Amino acid sequence: MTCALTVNDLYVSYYGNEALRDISFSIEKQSLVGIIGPNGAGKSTLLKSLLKLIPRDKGEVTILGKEVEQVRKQIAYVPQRSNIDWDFPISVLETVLLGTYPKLGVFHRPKKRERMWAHECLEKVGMEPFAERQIGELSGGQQQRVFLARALAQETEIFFLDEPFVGIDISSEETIIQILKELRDSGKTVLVVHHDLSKSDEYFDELVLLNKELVRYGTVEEVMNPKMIAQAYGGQLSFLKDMVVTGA
Amino acid sequence: MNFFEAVMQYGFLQKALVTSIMVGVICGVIGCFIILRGMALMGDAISHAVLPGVALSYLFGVNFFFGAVLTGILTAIGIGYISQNSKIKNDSSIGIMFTSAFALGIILITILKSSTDLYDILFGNVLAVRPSDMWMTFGIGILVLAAVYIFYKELLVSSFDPTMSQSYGLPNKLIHYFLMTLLTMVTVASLQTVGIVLVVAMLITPASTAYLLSDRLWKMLFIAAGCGALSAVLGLYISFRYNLASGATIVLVATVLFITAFMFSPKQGVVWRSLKSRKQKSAVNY
Repeated sequence: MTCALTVNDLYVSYYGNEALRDISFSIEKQSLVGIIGPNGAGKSTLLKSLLKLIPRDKGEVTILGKEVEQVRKQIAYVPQRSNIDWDFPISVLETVLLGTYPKLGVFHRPKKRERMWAHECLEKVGMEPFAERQIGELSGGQQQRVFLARALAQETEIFFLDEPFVGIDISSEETIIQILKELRDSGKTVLVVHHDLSKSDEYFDELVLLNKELVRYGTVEEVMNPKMIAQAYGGQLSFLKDMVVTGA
Repeated sequence: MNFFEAVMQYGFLQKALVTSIMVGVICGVIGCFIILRGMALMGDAISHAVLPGVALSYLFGVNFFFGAVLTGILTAIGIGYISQNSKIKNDSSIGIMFTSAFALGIILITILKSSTDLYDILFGNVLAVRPSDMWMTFGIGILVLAAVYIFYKELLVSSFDPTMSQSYGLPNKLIHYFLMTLLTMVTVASLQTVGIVLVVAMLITPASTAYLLSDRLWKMLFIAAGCGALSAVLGLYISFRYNLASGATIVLVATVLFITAFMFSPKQGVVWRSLKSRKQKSAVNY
């Protein structure tokens, strides 16, 4: 069986500064994986370089056994909320419809079938009543759910989410993690960049612990031990203390 | 004689009117994408950068459309190249490239042609529109509107969320240069109506008015086109009536429409907002 994702000897730099070095790991299909690490560890960079949104210096990456170019339509990517222009003149429904574009191709427009599907995806994240709102009128958690609905609309095998839980309310967070778990249970592979150690053990099956290089990749139990965390987080000890207390 | 009689009677005025309406419409439409992508300065740059192309076209005896598109695109590429390959910020890169293209254009034009021609190119002279110019504007207009209609989806997603469009495999850079090509063509079409210096107003002002008045891209496109066309008609009328420079008058009408939207737009208008916040304050203080 081919892996969902294999990374071998990946190096990435920004303007000559090394951002990631010597990263190798592989992820089986049907898993829900968190990418964690301190600020500046290169978590988002890893996600972007896997998709070739930024250039790689070195290394081989395969997704579903192929080069990323060949499987782009099998990958849904949810960017960080801070990267979106929320004043853009677009409605919630139209935003979700964007998710149908990759499979429509250039000269086709979304028709009734796509609109129905977009409504269905909105329903899954509980945002159907807001379909006709402009996206800037929503709260942060609602915006994030709309973007998850857009990813669902893409009907892909793999989902990449960059910091989906930053600045959102608890109930949205619960809705989102519930849907991600359902996706995993239906055979999809989900990678989530996550900033917060405290809930990592509840949310994910496996963790990629990163600090410019791969500190550890493994099951939650293997990664969430104080030694590993200390190694990745170094000086950020307040984090570590919380971790030890809750983990004990 | 009033304006309408004059329009009926004089062919040059009809051509002027048709041409300016078309220019108002296409500037409004392309302008929407320019402001949503945060490229207002780029619009200014490309419009100035067509000048050397116009001069070179005179030199080689070809239609100025070709030269203008060529130098417009070359400048867009130059701007992208400098900002991607050095620490020079995008706005500085734009400033360097377009002023040099513009300076080169001024020198070429003054060598090759008279200063009257330069004046017309810089500030427009809509009453001197020849039938061939009108048809060229019309052709460019059809082409630009068709391109926006056909690639609406791609323009929408790459303007709103370029990371997503890149991640599913859309060629963002190609789309950028495609838009720059359309922008150059729109500029060329606008040369005679408002002139190089004021094209940017027709690109940005009606689109910004529409931005304040709409919450959907397609509505914004229609409102911007409408504002552009209305500015053209009213501006031409006022300039005829009071004998004012036509390009400048059209631009000022567009500005008046913008200010009206800025004050009174139902959701964004400063007047309503201050009324609302005053009401809120008095309710709290009571």
